[in-house]
Amino acid sequence: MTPAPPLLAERALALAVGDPEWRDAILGDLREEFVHMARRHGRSYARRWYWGQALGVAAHRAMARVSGSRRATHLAMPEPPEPHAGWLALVWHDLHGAWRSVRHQPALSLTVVAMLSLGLAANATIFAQADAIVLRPFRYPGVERAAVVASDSHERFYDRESVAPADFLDWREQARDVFDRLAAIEWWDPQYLLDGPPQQLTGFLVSPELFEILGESALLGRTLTAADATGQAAVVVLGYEFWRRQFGGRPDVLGRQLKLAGVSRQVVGVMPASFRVPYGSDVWAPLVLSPAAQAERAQGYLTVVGRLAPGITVAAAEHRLQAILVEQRRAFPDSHAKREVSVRTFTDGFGDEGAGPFVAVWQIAALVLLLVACANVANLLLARNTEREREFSVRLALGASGGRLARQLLVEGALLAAAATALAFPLAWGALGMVRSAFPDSIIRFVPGWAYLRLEPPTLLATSALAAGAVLLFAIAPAWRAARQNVASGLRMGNRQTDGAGRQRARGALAAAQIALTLALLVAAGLALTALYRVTEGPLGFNPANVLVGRVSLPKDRYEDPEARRQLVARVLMRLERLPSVQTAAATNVLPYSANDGSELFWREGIPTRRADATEVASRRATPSSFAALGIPLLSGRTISSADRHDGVRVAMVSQALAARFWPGEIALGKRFRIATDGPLITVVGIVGEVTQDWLVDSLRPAFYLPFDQDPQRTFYVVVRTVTDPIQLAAGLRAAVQAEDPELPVVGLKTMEGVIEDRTVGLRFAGRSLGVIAAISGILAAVGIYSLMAFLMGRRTREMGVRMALGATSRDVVWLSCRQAMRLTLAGIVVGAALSYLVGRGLEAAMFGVITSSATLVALLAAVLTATALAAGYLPARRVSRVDPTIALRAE
Amino acid sequence: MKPPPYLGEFEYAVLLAALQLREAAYAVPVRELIESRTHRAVARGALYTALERLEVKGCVKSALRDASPERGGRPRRYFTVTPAGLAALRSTHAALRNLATGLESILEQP
Repeated sequence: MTPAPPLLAERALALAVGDPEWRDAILGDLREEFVHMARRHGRSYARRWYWGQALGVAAHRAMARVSGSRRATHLAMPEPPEPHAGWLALVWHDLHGAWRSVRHQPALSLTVVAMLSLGLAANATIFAQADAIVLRPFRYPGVERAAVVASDSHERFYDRESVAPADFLDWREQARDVFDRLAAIEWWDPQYLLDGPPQQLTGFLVSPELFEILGESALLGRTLTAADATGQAAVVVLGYEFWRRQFGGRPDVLGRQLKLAGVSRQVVGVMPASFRVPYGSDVWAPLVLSPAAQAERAQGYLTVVGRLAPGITVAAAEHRLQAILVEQRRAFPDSHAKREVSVRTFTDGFGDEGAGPFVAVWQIAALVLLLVACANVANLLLARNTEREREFSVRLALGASGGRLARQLLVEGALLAAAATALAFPLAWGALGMVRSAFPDSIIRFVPGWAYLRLEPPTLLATSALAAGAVLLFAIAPAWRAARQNVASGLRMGNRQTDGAGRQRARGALAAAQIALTLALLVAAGLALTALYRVTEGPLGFNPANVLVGRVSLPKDRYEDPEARRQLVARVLMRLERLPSVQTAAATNVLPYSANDGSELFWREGIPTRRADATEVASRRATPSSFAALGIPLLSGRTISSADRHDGVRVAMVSQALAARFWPGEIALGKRFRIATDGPLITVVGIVGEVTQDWLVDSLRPAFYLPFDQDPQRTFYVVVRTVTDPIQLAAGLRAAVQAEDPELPVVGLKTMEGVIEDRTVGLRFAGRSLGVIAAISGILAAVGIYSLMAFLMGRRTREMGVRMALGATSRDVVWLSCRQAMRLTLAGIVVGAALSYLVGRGLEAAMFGVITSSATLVALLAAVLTATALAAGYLPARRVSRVDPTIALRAE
Repeated sequence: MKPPPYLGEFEYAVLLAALQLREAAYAVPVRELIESRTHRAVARGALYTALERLEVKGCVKSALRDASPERGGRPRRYFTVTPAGLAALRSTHAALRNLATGLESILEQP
């Protein structure tokens, strides 16, 4: 028996060669030589030799395939299948032909695939975010039937934590027909002491039904049960993160006693990582409503989650609760006159409210980018098909139908789009990695669905569907033109290809469409970036440099007495001010850019103190040095002082906007107002500058400041202005608080600049990603115009030669081209300006008034685009105008 | 009539070798002949590429025969030089000879 060469090498080579006739000849030759080699030098030498030869030949064949693909035989269609062949054979035949055609022009095909994959990757990245954060942020088994009930209407700023306990109990009793389970959630935030500094945990008191409603069971141990809610046993269920962080994920944590908020509780279970309801929860304990709480109707602070009875919709449930509310209004006119009730799906109620519009804006931008890419690809394909006109004519003359040609072109498009889709997924995967690392942990903890931010089947599906849509967009125009090809003229034209008027119009329209879409995208990005600049660099009304802040929450039991709170705050601030690097230390309950904002009803003196006559304004409690610590300027009057004690005259400072609104044209100092129907009159003693509270809400709301001492809060921020790097003082601040009360944790210790950073990170990200998308689109559009002009001028080289031979100057030739580019650009800009107007309106609506559209910006960007288009028209024209007319005349 | 295609140096060598071998011209002996007469190594891949290109240009035509167990049952691909190939060879050869005219004393020195 003759020795055989290595099977694997032979297979690989066979694969590389492809063409069966050549494959047999080459494999045979190498095997023949292998046998001689083995006889002469031994088998192992021969095997090594064979591997080397196989790889060498395979490489040669691959190179030949790429560089030699423009051979004369190109584009001849493969043998058509039998007339009665099945559809599978037809598809295979089409694919085979498409592959030849795609391979025939590797540079063009690569360009098309690259452009499409950019557009598809942008869409996939953003769709993955939409899917994770907006569409399916919660994936608990019971989420489909879960709903959120709130004593709040469907306003923009929706308040979930608004249900009064007595209302909750009423619903549980009376709305059994629409909710078969109803659970309440109350903020708890217990302090936890083990070894080391006390920790502030994120925790919730919940009805045990919550776990049942969402259909989630414990990872270890059990969830809460109805028996726990009787208040007999003190138990707690741990969140996965907390369990890992604090107990290293040890299963023996079950049965341990934890001291939470001063009460010892037994650990009965650990929840899986995905369960953090309502958000970022570390611990859950059973909610036990005291008799006093059960009767509470005025104050709403519970979040209520229910499971809809089978067949009941959200709207039906809301209808039922509104019927109950009508009765409640009759029974409790005091508390319920202005009360509302609303039911939302769980995903709606708990989803990130701001995320929807943001993601929608991105998704639209990405779709526009894909449209620009499609227009570009369509233009390239139209240009290529001009060159293939003769091939089409021959095939038509030989009996192919127009539909047959169109189908072939569509299949070619599908092949390109499939390749682009395959490339888009790894690109999107990388982009998602960048998105994940762009946000700090402190933010993503509270973004529901962040954990699902990855490429998932819905994203893959949506992207593939988009790719299919893109094929229709970019391949349909060339296919349609091919189907209507005139055989005789195509053949007559021979090699001197010129564009028909129709095709030129189509290509011009595509280029103009690109400019229009790009202008709209640039405007969107420009608006977002301007807003970003205003938010991060614009007037804040305070000075965030060299300021350290930390939040303290005093436990209810030990700080029930206002005097205890006053004392603690005063002593902590005194300790801090003794530190050498501290300039000023202060306490306030509302910090600019910190997401929580207080507001109260306001009656100026002289108007009736009826609820209907009240105005809601922003309200803060501040210690005297707060204004110095935050750098808020005093405009007139005096700052509240330590002399404004709780037992003294009630005084306040107001913002300039408040003074101007309620006492226009008057001196506001000395004027008085009330903040409760039966409350005392409060005297204005000072006017301070405006503070930008938050870009998300109305940034300059009228505001007043009451002395902290006159109304000490349980939760407040300690604000310290330092002379050195503020973050170095973090330990000092914590120590000062814990020196007064060792069980008090200080949370969210960061610089004021960090607070702003955290709050604006979303907008900054949005602005930058829009910028990136718009930049890519701008480049695509510029390339599109350039390639179109270069192609058109190349076609007209001969004509230009004639013109120049007849006396036209090179300037005339350049002008001709620029004029053509100009016409396209102007058409695009007119349409684009109209689009930009709509885009501006859309953004204003989506981004909460952060964005204001600007005609100047549109004009500026239109000018930039025009200049780019002119350059794109000028460069190819200059090249043509420099050609010697005699050469130009000979050009084919 | 179209002028005969221009032959590259390697194509020229391959055609000459195929002509020398007459009926027996398939890749293995073609390569051996070029190597033994020109003392230069010939990559198999390059040879196959050249043969394919020559066939596309119409300079050679090929036929498959002589499958043997030694070749794993695969046939040899024999090449024969076509009249067009011969014309191309003649024209290239003549061109080179023309260029060399008068230089015999230098070129033919041992």
